[in-house]
Amino acid sequence: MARFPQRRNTTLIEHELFVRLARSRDLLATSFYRPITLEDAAREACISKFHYLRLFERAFGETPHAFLRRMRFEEARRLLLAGDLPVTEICFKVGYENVQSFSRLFHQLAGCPPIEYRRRARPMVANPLLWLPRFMPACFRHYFGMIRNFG
Amino acid sequence: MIQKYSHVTLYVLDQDVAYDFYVTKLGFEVRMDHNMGSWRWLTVSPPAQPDLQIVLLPVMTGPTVDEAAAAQIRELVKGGKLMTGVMQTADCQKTYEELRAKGVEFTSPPHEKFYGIEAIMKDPFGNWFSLTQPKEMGQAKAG
Repeated sequence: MARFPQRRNTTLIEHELFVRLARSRDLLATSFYRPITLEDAAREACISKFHYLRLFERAFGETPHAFLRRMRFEEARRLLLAGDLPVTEICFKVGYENVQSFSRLFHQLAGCPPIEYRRRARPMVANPLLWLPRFMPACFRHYFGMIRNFG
Repeated sequence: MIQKYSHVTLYVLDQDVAYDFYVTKLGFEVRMDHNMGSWRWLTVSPPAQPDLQIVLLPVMTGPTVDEAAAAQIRELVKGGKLMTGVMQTADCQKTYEELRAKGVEFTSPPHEKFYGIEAIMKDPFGNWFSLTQPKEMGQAKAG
């Protein structure tokens, strides 16, 4: 009988457990703007904190902390582009308590500080042809006729 | 060195219908959805694979595909000739029942095979997929 090779870090977990983990991920996604702890999320999933970390990463491919950080970063980007809120206010709005930490983390993820991101990105938002190349590989842009040649 | 596969392509014949199927019915998450006029840059991921983007690619003419090729691709899709892949589930019977209740068409209900329990389903365009519960995940019998 053929057997599948064993994978060390399978992302496949039992359905009912996955539903509980997804519920806890929803809690993180809707609560990122306020202080929320790993204990809160693990409690939502009815799992011990120790197991929660490992199971969350197996299910979703990232740690709860990384997921929360991504949610906060995406919201910060949206707020920077959408209006003129000061960076300090955006920092607190997305759940950070320290502006320096927020700015340092934003710089790590975006490649530039929040103010610089706002300055560079705003003109591009109005015209998707300016920012879409960052997200659409050249083979697809060629397929859609956005570029003549690629490679 | 290649790290991972980031994008795979799935030909669809209508992106609105594709969105309803893959997002609303199958529960895939939207990664990109940008309206470019006559088409959308629309990519989705299974919830547990956020870094794999499935491009729901409309069949259309352009630099790579002329009218004749586009017509051929549409016929291949409608005829289910393009092997599109396998979706895994922890419970084939349960997922089969849930998806059927949402209106997903299955050409084969769950059956036990040597590698697990497998059902076959189709998207609205003709693309078909194996929905498989691998044997090492559970011992549930098809009901």
